[in-house]
Formats: sequence, C-alpha cells, structure tokens
Amino acid sequence: MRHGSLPLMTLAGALLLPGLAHANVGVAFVHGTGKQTNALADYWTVAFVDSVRKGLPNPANYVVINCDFEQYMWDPEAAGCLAGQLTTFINTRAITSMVVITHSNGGNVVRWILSNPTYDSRYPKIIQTIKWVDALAPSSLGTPLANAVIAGNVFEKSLGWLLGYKSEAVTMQQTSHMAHYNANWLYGTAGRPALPREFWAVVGTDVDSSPLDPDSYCGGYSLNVGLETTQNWLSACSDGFLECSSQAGAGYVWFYDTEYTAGDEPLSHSQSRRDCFGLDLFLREDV
Amino acid sequence: MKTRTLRTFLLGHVLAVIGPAACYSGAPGDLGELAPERALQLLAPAEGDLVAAAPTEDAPPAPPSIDRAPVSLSWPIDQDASDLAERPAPHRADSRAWWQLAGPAELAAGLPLAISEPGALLRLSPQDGAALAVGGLELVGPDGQTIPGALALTPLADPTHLADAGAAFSPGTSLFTLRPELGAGTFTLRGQTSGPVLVYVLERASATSLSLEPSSAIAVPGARVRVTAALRDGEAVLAATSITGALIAPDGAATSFTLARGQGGDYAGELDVPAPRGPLGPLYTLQVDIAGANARGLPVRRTVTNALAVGLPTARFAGTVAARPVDGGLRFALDVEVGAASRFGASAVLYGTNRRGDAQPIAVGQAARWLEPGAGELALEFDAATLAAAGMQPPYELRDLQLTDQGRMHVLHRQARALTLADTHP
Repeated sequence: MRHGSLPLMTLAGALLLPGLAHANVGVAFVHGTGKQTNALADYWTVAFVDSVRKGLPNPANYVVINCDFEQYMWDPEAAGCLAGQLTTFINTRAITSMVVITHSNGGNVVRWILSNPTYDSRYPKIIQTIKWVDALAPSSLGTPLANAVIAGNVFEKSLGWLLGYKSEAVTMQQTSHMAHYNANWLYGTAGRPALPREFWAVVGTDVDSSPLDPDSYCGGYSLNVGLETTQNWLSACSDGFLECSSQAGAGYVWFYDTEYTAGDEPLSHSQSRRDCFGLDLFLREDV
Repeated sequence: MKTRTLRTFLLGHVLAVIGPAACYSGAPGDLGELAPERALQLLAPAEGDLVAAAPTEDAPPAPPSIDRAPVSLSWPIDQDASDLAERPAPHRADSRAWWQLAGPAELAAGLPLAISEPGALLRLSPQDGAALAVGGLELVGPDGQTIPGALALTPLADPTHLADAGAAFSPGTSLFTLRPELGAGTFTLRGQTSGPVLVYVLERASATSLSLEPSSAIAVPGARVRVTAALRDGEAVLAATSITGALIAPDGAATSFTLARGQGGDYAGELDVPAPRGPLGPLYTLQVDIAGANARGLPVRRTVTNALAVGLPTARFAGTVAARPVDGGLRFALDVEVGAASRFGASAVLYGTNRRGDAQPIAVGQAARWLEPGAGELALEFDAATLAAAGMQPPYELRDLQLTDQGRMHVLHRQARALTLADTHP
C-alpha cells in the first residue's frame, strides 16, 4: 500500500482487499428494481435476512438498503443513494470486509459502482471494503421482458408519460440498452476487463407454479404464476424474469439453482430473494 | 462451493491507487531506465475508433449532483489479450414481435393482425387503463369466420400476477394466446374501446425474425449512421412489402429514415443524427417496422428496436501525452480540450510485453475530475506493485482508451490502440 498526497488518498484510498484474518465483517442486502422504503419486510423478508446474517461473526453487522432503483443505475437516487447508505454502514459499524448480496437489477447498480470507481469519490472506499458480491439472479444482459414492457411506449409531451410504463430502470434493462452499457460503461461481461471485485452469480433456471406443488408457494404463489406467464418472452432456461444467459452474463457463475438447492428445486425470480430451498443457508455460509 | 481460480484470487487482492507526485524508485522491470518524462502523441485513430470533433461550448450544464472531487485509481487484471475485445461491435437486435397503436374507430372497423405462426401471444394495453373484456372482442379468421373473443383467445394470466412478478405492463393490460387450432394468416380484431389500444403480437415459435444493427452505437449531431435491417425466415432472406425506420429521442421526437433493399436482400438506410433533444444521457431508440410474407407465403409483421447514444462533443483528447515513471509505476497525463464544463473521465487498459513477446493486459486505469472549458489534463496511473506483479516488459501500450463526459453520460472518444511506450531509454 502506497501513500499519495492527501487529496488523492482522501478521494481514492489504497484499495487493497480487506484483511480477512481480523476483519470486521458485514453484509449488505441490495434490492432490485423498485423504490424501496422498507426492503427488509417488503423485498427480502425478515426470515431471509435473519437467516443469512447468522453467518456473520457479529450478526448485527448488516444493512438492508432502501433506494430508488426505478432510476438509471448511475442516478443519485440509485447508485448515489446506495453509495451513501453503504458508506454510512461501513463508517458507523467500522466494517472492514463487506459481502454485498444483490438481487436482480441491484446487481447492475453495484456493477456500476465497481466499473466506474472514479464517478463518485465515495466509490473507492466502498470497493476497497467489498470482499465480493453475491449476485442473486442479476439482470446483467437485460431481459426481453423489459423490451416487451417498453414496446409501444410513446412519450406524450403535453401529458407526460401517458402511454406505457415510465420506469427508467425497466428502460435500462432492455437487452439493447444493457448491451450498450455493458460495452461502454460496465465491466465484467465477455470481452470486457474484469471487475475490481469478484461478482458471483446465482442463476435461477425455471419456475414452478402448480397449485398442487407446495414448492410453488415459496416466494409467493401469485408471483410464481406471473413468472410462469412471463416465461413466454424468455428462452427455455429462465427464472421467469431473466434468461439464464443474462444472469450468468457478468462475473462468474457461483451455481445454477438446481445444482445445490434442496430437492433440486429451481429458483424463480421471486424465490431467489427468499429463504427458499436452502438459498439462505448457502449465503449464510458465504458471508 | 465457489471455485476460485488463481485468476479470481489475484483479481480480488490488489486495487491500487497512485499518489499524484510520488518519486520514482526504479524497482520493477526496466522502468528505471525510463526517461524522467516522455512527450508522446496518441496514435492515429484507426477505422472503427470513435474520435470527438472540436469541442462545443453549447451544451446543457452537467447536473449539479455530479461529484467534483478528483479520483484516480487502477486495478490489475489477469486476462489474456484474447479475453478482451479490441473494440465493441454494435449490438444487433432481433425481434419476433410487432406492435401497433390502434384507435377506437380502427378497432371498431377491424384491425388486421398478421399471424405467421399458430398460437401467437396477443397483448392488449388500453391506453386509458381500463381493461378490455374479452367478451367485447371478436376475431375474424383467415377463412372469414367470425369467432367470439372468448372462444378465440385464451387468457394467459391475471394482470395483477404479472405486476407482482415485476412485469409492470401498463394498467389494464391483458395477455392472451390465440388458440393454435385457428391457424395462421390474416386475422381481424374487432372491439369497442373507449380509447386507443396498444396491440402487441409475439410469435415466439416463429422462424421469422427482423434484425437491426447500426454502424455505430454512439453518435453526435450531424453524424451519419448506417442502419441495417434484415427479415429472415430461417436461412431465407425475405422481401418486405413495406418498411419504415425512425430514430426516437427520449422525449418522443421521431426522425424518420428510409431503408432500401441491397443486393444481398438486407435493407439499409442512412440516418443523419439530429441535434439532441431533452435531457442528455438516456439512450435513443432506433425502430424499424416491416411487413411482408414468410417463406410459406403467410403474412408477417415485425417491429425491432435498438439503442443509439446521442450526445455532444463537449471535450476531446488534444493528442499529447506526458508519460513518466512515478515511484516505480507509470503515469500517463493526457491533455484534454474542454468545450463545456463537466466531470470528465479517462480510462484505458495498460498492456505490457510478456516473455513470449506478446502484448498482455496488466491493469485497468481510470481517472476523473471536474474540468472547466479550456485546456485540462487527466492522468492515468499504474502503481509499482501492479507492474511488478505482472512482470511485463516494454513496450507498454494503452489500449481501449476512453474519454467520457460523466456529467452527461456520453462516450466522447474510444480508441482501440491509443499509445505505445516503445522503448525505455531517453
């Protein structure tokens, strides 16, 4: 580790991997698309978060992020908000090694920070503290479903967004848009330089929504019914929201759901953020 | 369970930051023989590189939320040259869907639906948000038979389930499958609606797709972008009975362009990029609509979209670079000409020469700072530890050099081979 002059040290820091032997380890839960005000209850569930944080030496060292991920990933309300909450978490709890668990589009927001460490002077310290990222069903290559949701939207200047869906995050997750961002602004995909921290993807491969199958109720039955329908837009291997190729499109694949889940059950897009089929236990062991 | 290779282990461990004025200690490689400072020039751009025009002062201000503190850092990468694309190819988009906004009168009279495969998915999104009752719809099949909507269309899901699942189609959206036994051909959809309805047809199982690819993914006003579209049914290249193209700005303003069929059967058109409208940053949409017949003579329509970044040339590299050893590392100070103030960023991949004499990536370097109009500088720095760990020798190269306007989210310059530090002697 070198020491430069104060300005650069302050703004960039010496970004070495946190020392693990005496690390004060923490975990951050980063939600997906949506504006969250209580992601613990509304997005992850207390049962999931509590189960995962049992793996920490100090289970109190956790933070559940609440930001507006309806915005573009670089937006002050998205990555800016995330950087603020992570910085506060790191500082207030003196975290020296942080595992970041993301779901869906949360992986893109974190990958924005990892890929553009010079965009915001808070980013380098965050990256320095990150041990690795566990990206649950990340939408790294976008999704044809976003293409479908945006298709036909027309901006009516006089009336605002009248026709169609307004979310910038959905716009961003169109496959052509993510192709652009991956090629020009993000790292970690094929043909691009590696990220400064490991990005490990858990890939969901299918959706079960039979009313007679108890597994269909984990994560919410109605969500799984919806995801079974949205598979119409997706290839044979998908979690109902994302194709497997998108989930595996950045960083490294940690595992495909059925390789390790209890009963070889697939993780739908709603189940990959819940304590379904032992997912929480893998994460608990990993933090 | 995670299989951490040596590569990922190394990647995780060193992310270095270089101080701005440290002294050279001459440790790794041959850097001790470097001249104190070398005045270099960026290499001439090659075909496919993106080079900014003369900087403009006339640009919307960068958002006030943008950070003004300078940041510079680098991190090692353990990748082969073959792992990295020299320059990104423009994305080619494909579609097996089409859509059209239909007004109440059009729907009352009957909207033709080109269905080339049995079992198409039909999505109806009333723009007033009031869900359509399938009982109020009817279809006329290719054989002229009128079929009540409830018999022709199978509902796919409760729309609330779709919203719960994250598929937030506009309110009132209904999804159906057209019963497969009704076959393919031109159907007519009729119904009484209180407002316009977005009619979207997806033929997932169809072999007929429309592709769309621009010659460049990034453009500035006045640039000419070549747009290529191709309608294919498997290997067969299809002719269109109609084809239209448009560039749609984030504020909805559309600029039409025409496409003509070339010798190979593909369609191509030239798009003159207009001046940006609305906020800078969001991508523009390229859209092509096509109608024709597939290889079996069945009617087919497709709509395809792709992304195009349109921005302003707010800065450019001046072309001069000061390279010098710093505390055993390397520092490349790139001169920048700025037209409109913003936070600008430079990035590049540093390559060295391995024992086999091949160029091999060493590290990613990035630097960003707020620059006012006039002359500025962005310095990429690679620290001694990174260079020593890589064990590379000169020549060093900067590849994939980028200049970005971070405040306006636009890539200004992208050069695959930008700089060579060929020798180590004064």
